[in-house]
Amino acid sequence: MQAPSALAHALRRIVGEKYVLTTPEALLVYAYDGSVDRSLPGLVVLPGSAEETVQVVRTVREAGWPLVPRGAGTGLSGGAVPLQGAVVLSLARLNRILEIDPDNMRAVVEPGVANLDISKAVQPYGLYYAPDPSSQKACTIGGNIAENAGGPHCLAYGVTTNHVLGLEVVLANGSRVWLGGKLQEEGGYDLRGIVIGSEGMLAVVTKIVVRLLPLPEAVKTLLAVFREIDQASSAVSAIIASGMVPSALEMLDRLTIEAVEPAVHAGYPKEAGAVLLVEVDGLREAVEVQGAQVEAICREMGAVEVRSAENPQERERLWAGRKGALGALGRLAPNYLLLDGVVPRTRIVEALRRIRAISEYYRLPIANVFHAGDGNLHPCILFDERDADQLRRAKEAGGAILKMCVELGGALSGEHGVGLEKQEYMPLYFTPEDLQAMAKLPQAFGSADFLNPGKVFPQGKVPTAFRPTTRLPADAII
Amino acid sequence: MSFAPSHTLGLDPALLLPPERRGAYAVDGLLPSLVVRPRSVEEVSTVLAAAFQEGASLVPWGGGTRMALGAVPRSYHLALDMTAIAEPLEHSPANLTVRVGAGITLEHLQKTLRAHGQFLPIDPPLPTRATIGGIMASSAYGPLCAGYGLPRDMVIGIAVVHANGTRTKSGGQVVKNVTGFEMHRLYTGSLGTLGVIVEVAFKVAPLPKEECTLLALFPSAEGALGAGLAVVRAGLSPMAVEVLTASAWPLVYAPTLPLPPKDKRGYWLLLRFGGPPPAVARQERDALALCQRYGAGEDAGEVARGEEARALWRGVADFGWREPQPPLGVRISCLPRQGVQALALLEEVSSVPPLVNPAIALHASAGVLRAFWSGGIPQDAIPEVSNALRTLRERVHALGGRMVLERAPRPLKDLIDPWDVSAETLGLQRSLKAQFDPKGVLNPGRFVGGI
Ligand SMILES: Cc1cc2nc3c(=O)[nH]c(=O)nc-3n(C[C@H](O)[C@H](O)[C@H](O)COP(=O)(O)OP(=O)(O)OC[C@H]3O[C@@H](n4cnc5c(N)ncnc54)[C@H](O)[C@@H]3O)c2cc1C
Repeated sequence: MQAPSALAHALRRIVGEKYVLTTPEALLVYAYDGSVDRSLPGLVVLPGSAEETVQVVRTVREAGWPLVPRGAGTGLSGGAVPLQGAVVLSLARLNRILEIDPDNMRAVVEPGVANLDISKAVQPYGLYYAPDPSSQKACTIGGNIAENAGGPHCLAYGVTTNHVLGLEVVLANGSRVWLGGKLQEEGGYDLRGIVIGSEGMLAVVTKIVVRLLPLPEAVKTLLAVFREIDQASSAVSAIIASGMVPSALEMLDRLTIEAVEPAVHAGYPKEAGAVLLVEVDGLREAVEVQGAQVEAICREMGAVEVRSAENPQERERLWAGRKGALGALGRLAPNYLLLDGVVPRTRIVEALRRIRAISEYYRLPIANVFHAGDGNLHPCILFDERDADQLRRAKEAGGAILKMCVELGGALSGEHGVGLEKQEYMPLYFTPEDLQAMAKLPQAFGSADFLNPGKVFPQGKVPTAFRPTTRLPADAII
Repeated sequence: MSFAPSHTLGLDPALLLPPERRGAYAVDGLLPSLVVRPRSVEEVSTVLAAAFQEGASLVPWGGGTRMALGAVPRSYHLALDMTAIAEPLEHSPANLTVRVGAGITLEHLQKTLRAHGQFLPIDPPLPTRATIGGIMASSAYGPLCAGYGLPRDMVIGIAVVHANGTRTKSGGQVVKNVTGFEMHRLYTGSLGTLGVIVEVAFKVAPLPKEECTLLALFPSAEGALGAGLAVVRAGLSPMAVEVLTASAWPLVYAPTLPLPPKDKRGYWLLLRFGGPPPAVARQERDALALCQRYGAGEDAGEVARGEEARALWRGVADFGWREPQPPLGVRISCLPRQGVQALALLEEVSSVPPLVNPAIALHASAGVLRAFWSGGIPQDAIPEVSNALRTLRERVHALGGRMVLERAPRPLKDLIDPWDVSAETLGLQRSLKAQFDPKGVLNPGRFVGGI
């Protein structure tokens, strides 16, 4: 391994003096992401182009250092946290939208572009980029690719992989190649499909071809209030079973509502045990029919109140409670632990019951605010890390919930990724043979022990998922 | 290594089909030494482990509908007939997901789903024969790709048996899942060269409450394609957008349908819509107005309903694949807008004698053209045809597109690579193959770059 100063010198020759960071204060900023783990990088390098990225990858590789790609650092599973004093490769300066092709409904962008900025740039053409992680103002498309990010509106339109056609990547050996491209399908193995969701462990993404959709002409948002969470869960199943797929279907439980109401004044009735937020979009005629259908189903399932909104201001008001939920929960306890398990949507009722039982057993409040439509739970365990016993109980409760998700036919992560957070839980879901098959990918890509080493695969450590959280910003949405 | 038909790898005789059945398992004229038909995933694993031991090469078979695809096998000892892997068939209607054994035919699966008002929105050719395993391995799809995407978009989990008999899974039965690398997308479209697919989980879709199929005739390809793309761009969300040349009609086999008169030249646009009735009425109205604006003939309008419409779309999906199958077919991929140029290139090449008058159908919004030549190709014309196709491929490349031979006589495959992928990723693809199948026993030589 080359000395840090020699490596820094070599990298400065590539990217310029000010784009290699080595001071302790600067390194501290890159020691963490949105999750709980922390680890200082050896240094940070910010190339300004794909060409520079190639040279950086080659140089770091030759110097014998591991390399960790990084977008905006909003990841919630430790993906961008550099282990072993790795070099952090920030793609933040590769933030140009290179091409908008409205006729073919595609755009070519660099990885550092913020998710929402793509939709903003193509809006004048009546188009948008569908996947919308709640962090979309900040998170980068490169980070979305690495995590195969989802979002509230992925229920109807699918997640990142369904909207990305091609990737230009820099491989571990420093070659720059296209995986997929502008065509619907390029033939050969779907290398695009495996780099998406590979958490920065296979290749560094330097360009992305995204598919764009026409903006829907009509959007209707409904908010249904239920006394009991079982009723709301049944409404979710009934809506899906009725033969439509809403664009979003989100749920808040009683604890969340109690936290949200004083903070956001969303106007939820006191007796509300659960709130369901449903959005349908598309042609005016379809939205009208489906909106009415959703309302009827909710009432049938016992909704005490259904509100609806069609203009942006009213819609914003209905979403306010959902969007303010995490911030409000942060006020209930000094710490919270946010999970990302997923269950078949038919098992939501049972999953929530078991979370309640786990909450009682461990004597810790657990709030639920989540993407109900696709069964993606976000249980939020409230505790105080200053009390060692609470901390222990919180960790155990978290483990119990993940185990429960797997038992119900679900999985460990719906959208936040495995990273450091869930790597030790992987054997709950995968056999050793499954994991060995996955481990062949970094081997084939030549990236093992070089790109983002020490992530995703179990390392035989005590699970790190359930360390106390640093708080996400109060306006964080999830 | 040469395997006599008598060499049975020590397998349970109950798994072996009699030698006289081998004829049904020819690939590019090659016959296997042995045909094995396992009845369970355990048996698949046993067979693969035994074959691996001996270094025996193996070609998995589903319904055999896509066996013309790919290069000539480098060697072929065992045919692995997967049609007895008929379990599970586990539909969870309220979850909009299904788990299905690789040997089940698409039509069988669809029947199960339809009983609950749902369907798998993938419509490759020959659904009554094509198995789920074969469809996923070859990434086979049809007109519905316009509204729903590709097989890789619908898959949420896959179980495979690897070359050495090891069984693994990826993904699961939830519609949103980022637990681990997305191996199921790697296996999709890998033509069984990394592992034998034994089970697939899909997200499925509700059947639309109402459907409408429109047909419009245009004097020019620009008009037909322009209208089709305008319909998509207007947010009318068609399920399918197909452009057909006049000569494509005879290959779109739909017995109950009054086919458009043969003497009408021009380009046909077929649109399929679905949704709640008021939305479908609106889609129909707006789409017809757009067709008119792009120069459609007077009689544009709804062409079939109900069972008739379904038969028509099955015919479009089966285009070029029903018996008697044309001997030569290509698939060109390009940007949607370039469909017209790609069409022109195909029509140009058809001035070379054996390549006259191709039947062409185009998944317009996807930018995928399929062309078939029905006439026979005399042996002595093969070099000429090969040159013409090579020239065509070069021109397609100049557009930024790709051209795959979906079906070709063996002598032609010896002269021109049926695959067309970028050379820059071949190294990476070969190292993946080496990781998963170090002895190269799975479908050797049939995939891209000699994999
Ligand atoms: C408030 C809040 C709400 C959120 N809501 C959602 C949500 O609704 N849905 C959802 O899916 N996620 C959500 N997230 C999680 C997070 O925003 C996503 O995982 C996002 O995709 C991360 O993007 P990033 O640019 O911040 O990536 P980072 O955190 O910087 O990195 C994430 C991973 O990507 C890799 N990476 C980054 N760039 C590249 C590149 N160019 N090439 C290769 N690898 C790269 C890194 O190595 C790392 O492994 C939320 C996070 C927060 C804080």
